[in-house]
Amino acid sequence: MTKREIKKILFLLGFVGLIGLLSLVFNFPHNNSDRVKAADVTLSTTVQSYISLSISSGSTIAFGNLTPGTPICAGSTVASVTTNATNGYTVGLSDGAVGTGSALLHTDMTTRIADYAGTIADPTLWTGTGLGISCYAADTSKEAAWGTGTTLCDANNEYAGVPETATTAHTVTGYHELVDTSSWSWEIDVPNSQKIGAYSGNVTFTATAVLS
Amino acid sequence: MRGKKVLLLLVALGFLVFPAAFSSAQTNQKGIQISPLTYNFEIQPGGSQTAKITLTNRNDEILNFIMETEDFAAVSEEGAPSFTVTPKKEGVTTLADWIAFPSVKEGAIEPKGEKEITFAINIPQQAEPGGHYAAVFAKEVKKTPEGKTEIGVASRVGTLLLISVPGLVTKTAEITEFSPPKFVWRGPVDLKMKVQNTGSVHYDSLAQVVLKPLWGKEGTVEMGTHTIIPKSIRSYEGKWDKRYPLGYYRLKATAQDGDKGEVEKSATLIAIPLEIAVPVLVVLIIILIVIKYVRRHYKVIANQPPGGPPAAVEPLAPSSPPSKPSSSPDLEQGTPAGEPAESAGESEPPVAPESPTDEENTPTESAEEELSGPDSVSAAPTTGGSVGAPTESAGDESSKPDLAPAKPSEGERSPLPDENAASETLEDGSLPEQTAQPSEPSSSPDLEQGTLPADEVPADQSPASAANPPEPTAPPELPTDDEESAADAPTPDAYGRDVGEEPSKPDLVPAEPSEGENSLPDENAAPETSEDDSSPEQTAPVGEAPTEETTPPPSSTDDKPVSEPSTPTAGEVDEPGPTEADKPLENVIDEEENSTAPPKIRPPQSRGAKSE
Repeated sequence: MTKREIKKILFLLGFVGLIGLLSLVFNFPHNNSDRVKAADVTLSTTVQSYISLSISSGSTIAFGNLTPGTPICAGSTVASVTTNATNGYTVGLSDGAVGTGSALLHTDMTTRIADYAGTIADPTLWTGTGLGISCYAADTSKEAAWGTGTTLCDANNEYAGVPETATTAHTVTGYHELVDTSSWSWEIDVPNSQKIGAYSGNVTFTATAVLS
Repeated sequence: MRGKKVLLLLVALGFLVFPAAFSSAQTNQKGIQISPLTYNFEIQPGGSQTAKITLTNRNDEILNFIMETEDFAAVSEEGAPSFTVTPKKEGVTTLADWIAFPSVKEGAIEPKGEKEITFAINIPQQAEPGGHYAAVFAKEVKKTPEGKTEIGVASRVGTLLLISVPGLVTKTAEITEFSPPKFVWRGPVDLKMKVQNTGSVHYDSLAQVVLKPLWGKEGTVEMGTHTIIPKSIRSYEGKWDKRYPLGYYRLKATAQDGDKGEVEKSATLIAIPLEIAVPVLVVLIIILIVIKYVRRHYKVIANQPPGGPPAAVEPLAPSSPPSKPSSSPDLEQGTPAGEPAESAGESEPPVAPESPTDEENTPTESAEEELSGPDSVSAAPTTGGSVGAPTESAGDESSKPDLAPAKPSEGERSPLPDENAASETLEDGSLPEQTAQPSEPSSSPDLEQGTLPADEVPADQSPASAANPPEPTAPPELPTDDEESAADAPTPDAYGRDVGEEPSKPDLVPAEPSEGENSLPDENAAPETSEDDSSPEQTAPVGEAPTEETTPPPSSTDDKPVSEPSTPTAGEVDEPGPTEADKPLENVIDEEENSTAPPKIRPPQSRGAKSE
């Protein structure tokens, strides 16, 4: 080996050693993952289930003047339900009136207009007299029992009288993130024997969760 | 200009209104809200439990509310509570009565405000152990309209309370319905089951369906967990996601009761996915069609008429001695012919040797055989040699078309009158000779069938006989019967010619006496030979019996001309042994009759045995 070659080798070794020193000094390439210390914060919370019910329209239904034998199909009531219930919700109807009397009570506080003969379990196309209600539209799974009508006062709507206690009239199963609405139409007729005068009352829409 | 301004204004208004509308949509949640939705408590008799519910007014107006309670005793299959009120006896209270609102029962909530409502559940000491169910409602209070005929609609929301009073309770369950489809064409498969709580307290029931195939791994479909209150039925639904289920499955539905025990119900399911079944069916159908096609094609070849394609004839030709050309042509053609051959075949047993190919082979063969009678038998082996075997196969004819002809079954003979055949056989005696004459090329196929020519020509004159003078003894026996049958019936029918040739039969007839005489050593041969052989006619004419017996003939025929006492092997039989043929039929017959020599019989025996 010539001197020149020896110098070259020494030069290379020195260069490599310098690089090594630099890498140690600057920790290059450095991995500072060990330097990071965990500072986790445990977070916890429980989201409560809820349900809200709003009568977004038709909270008051005015039937106007009734002529016995001439049914009147009044405006619709839209019930909006919002819930995070996993299994869905149910809408029940009730009027608190005992027996076959409807919510419409005469000013004499005694006489009532009767319920329509159809029941929530078995609604029927409108025939006869009384106060009836029908679900003609729903965002989710309208029950077939309510007939094939899709609009207010549709001849194919099937009606039921409103029971005394909350009876399930519309059920939506499963989780629904958004507002879910159902539309209801009212129809009324009275027999000739109906006492003249003004009748009024309240019908309650009840929303509860479906059991898991 | 004015219109443009209006448009600009409308657009500007739109921008202003739209965001508002959008924001309102986002915050559309209105009405009265309650939380949480359910409470599930176990409370000892005499105990008490307090809880809170939160009411929120989502409206922009003040909300007046009132708290209510109501019992429910059942839920629908989906889980919706039914608040139907049942009349209560005096002094009897329910959960709805045990709930109290110590702080607030009614009030008002500011817009967007909320209020906590505390309620207490006080279980009477005498409370019945088991489940008690009610709901706490927050109801919007609305003023009742007055003076008008109208209805006000109020909203109400509730929290369900499931209260369990410990004690003597039962937590039994029953699967009331589990009826999956019995047959499915494809997956996924919807599974449904219903579980009833037959106990006295509610519980959560986990249900699942286990699908067990005849082979392979089990599958499990989780149907979910539902809370079931006493006397209520809950519906479970699940989906078996297997897309292409195949086979027979046993499905076992299980549901937990309140004690974590399990109730179960089984069903079966057969799955045949169309995506698999259809292609398989198509392939099977194609295979069947191909098989049918092949069979038909094969049959066509086999059934080709006597004059038909040489292929069918060919198999016969090789076996037959080439020597005798003159008589052959017709016979040869006859051999291939299916039906005639059959008739002949029956009688043929002896004849079989030559035209082993087709049983059907035309009457010519039968005729030949008959004519050649025993000779044919012996000859058959010779000619058929290889063919000889087929004689045995008479029954196998179907399988061995070529051989078949050589070995006509008895049944085939039926058409041919035995007597005639016998007479012919005598005449045919010459035929065997023909067969025996392998040397002669022309005669070969024809010769075999050559029996026909023999018919035409007097037995003695028959070319075969002339050609094959040697060993007369053996042949006469077998051929006699066969010949008779063959000569009579088949030949004419199958090949018309034979019929025309029949006139020669009279010549043969004289030979028939052998039948009457039973000169044929059938008796001796009989033991081995078929029954037919034993019969006098059979022995001599051979016609009938031998045909059936043909199967063995091939061996016997081979060589052992009648003269040889030793029983010829089947192959021998087949071999017509030119020697036999050589002898004039009459002479042979005479010898046989006189001698009743067993050796003669043997050749036919072989056939007879076969025929049997």
